[in-house]
Amino acid sequence: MGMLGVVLRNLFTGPVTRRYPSERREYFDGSRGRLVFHPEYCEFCGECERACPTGAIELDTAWDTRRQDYSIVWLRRYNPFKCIFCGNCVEACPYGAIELAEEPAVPRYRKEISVDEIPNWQWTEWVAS
Amino acid sequence: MARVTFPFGPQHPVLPEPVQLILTCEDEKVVEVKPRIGYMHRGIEKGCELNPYKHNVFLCERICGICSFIHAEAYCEVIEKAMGIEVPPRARYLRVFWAELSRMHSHLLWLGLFADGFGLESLFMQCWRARELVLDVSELTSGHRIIQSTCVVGGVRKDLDAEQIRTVRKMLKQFKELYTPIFQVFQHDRTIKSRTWGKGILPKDVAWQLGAVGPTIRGSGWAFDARMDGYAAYGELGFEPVVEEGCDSYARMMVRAREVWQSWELINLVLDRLPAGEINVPVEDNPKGEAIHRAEQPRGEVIYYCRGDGSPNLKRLKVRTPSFANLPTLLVMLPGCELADVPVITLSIDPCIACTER
Repeated sequence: MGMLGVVLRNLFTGPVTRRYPSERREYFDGSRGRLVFHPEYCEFCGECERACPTGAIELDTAWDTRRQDYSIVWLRRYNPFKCIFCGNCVEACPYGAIELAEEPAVPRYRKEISVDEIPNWQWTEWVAS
Repeated sequence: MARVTFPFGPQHPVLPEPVQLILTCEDEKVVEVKPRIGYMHRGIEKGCELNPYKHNVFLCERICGICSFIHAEAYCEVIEKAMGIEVPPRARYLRVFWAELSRMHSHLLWLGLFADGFGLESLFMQCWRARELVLDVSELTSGHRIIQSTCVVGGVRKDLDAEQIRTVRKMLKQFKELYTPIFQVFQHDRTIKSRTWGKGILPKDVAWQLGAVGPTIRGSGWAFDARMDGYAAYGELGFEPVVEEGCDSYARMMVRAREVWQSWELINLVLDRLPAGEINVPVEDNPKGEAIHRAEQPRGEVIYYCRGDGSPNLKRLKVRTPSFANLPTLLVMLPGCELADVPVITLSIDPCIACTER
């Protein structure tokens, strides 16, 4: 009888589920979703790389193939499939270059590693001289 | 009569995780059972020796997907014991808050699966509907529904502000309205009683001899709970364990159903008494020496042991999980039962194979 009462009450209160792809739930403030990187604030200090428990962030240098003078580019490689969205890098970054968006990361067809160039650390004339 | 031996699991509709039971039956009666594990070993203990000890919190959290926070908490507490760190009172209370949220949603998940196991599907949906509210509280306060990641060595990472506390109180009130009728169904429904009453008897003395833990031993009449040790803030909150004397599947179910209320009360108590102050202390050293810590998970007592030599990596981390201690009780509960009762009895110990094999 107890279960019947619960079921009858539910008949008159409407559905509690959502029509998912068209209707999405609102995330709470501070939900740990997608990781957003702002390369313009990055100073290449390496705190995020050291704080990351899964090794999802790597800072690296590479030859700039777009130029002919053997210049170097400073890169940040981020593997979203290794990332566990713990927020350690966000807390560790002293320059506010990383933040956690509220909406979660979307599924992808390919496991692509995102590579960002750090503009603050470009090949400049004084380095060349 | 001819005996038939056949496998039950590792893939079976009522089993949430892969454990295999080799059942030997005479007609419809089970006469012998052999549990077999080893389908999802992940080598987490070894992995913990390779990472810096502060990063292991996130790895230990993933030993179990349901009671994740309590694994992180137990890991942090054992490291703090080894290093002699005093955690601030506010952090200890917040640890109880998230641990009890974990316990609530784990028990509601299990109650739903159990209801599904004995064929009451609408009750399964009601339990998971109530669980959704608990997960919302978890997301509001920690940023994630299940893997809270709020515990760190030395305290916690997130704090509750006054606005959040007000919202949590409102949501807990909603939860009470939702859970009260569900609890009454579990308590009084004739169908549930006919499927669980007297099924899977684990006598009181046998439960102690086999070293059962958690709701499995509390359902057999023993007041045995690691929270009675008073770790985190349980000592100050006046904790008393939930005990049932029935020794059957119904008693184990009622222990869990009543523990949801107990956790609800503990969370309210934490919000009332939350002390002001810091939420963590800075930790710079590396662990040296060894320590052992017991904590109570939704499935029972978990034991963490660690040994460090002053380097950032631990020399050894050992985890004894509750389902590993509870699996032998199936050897007593299952022989003699009907074949149709095997899913209900197996589920009644809440087997968590991800924990067991790590």
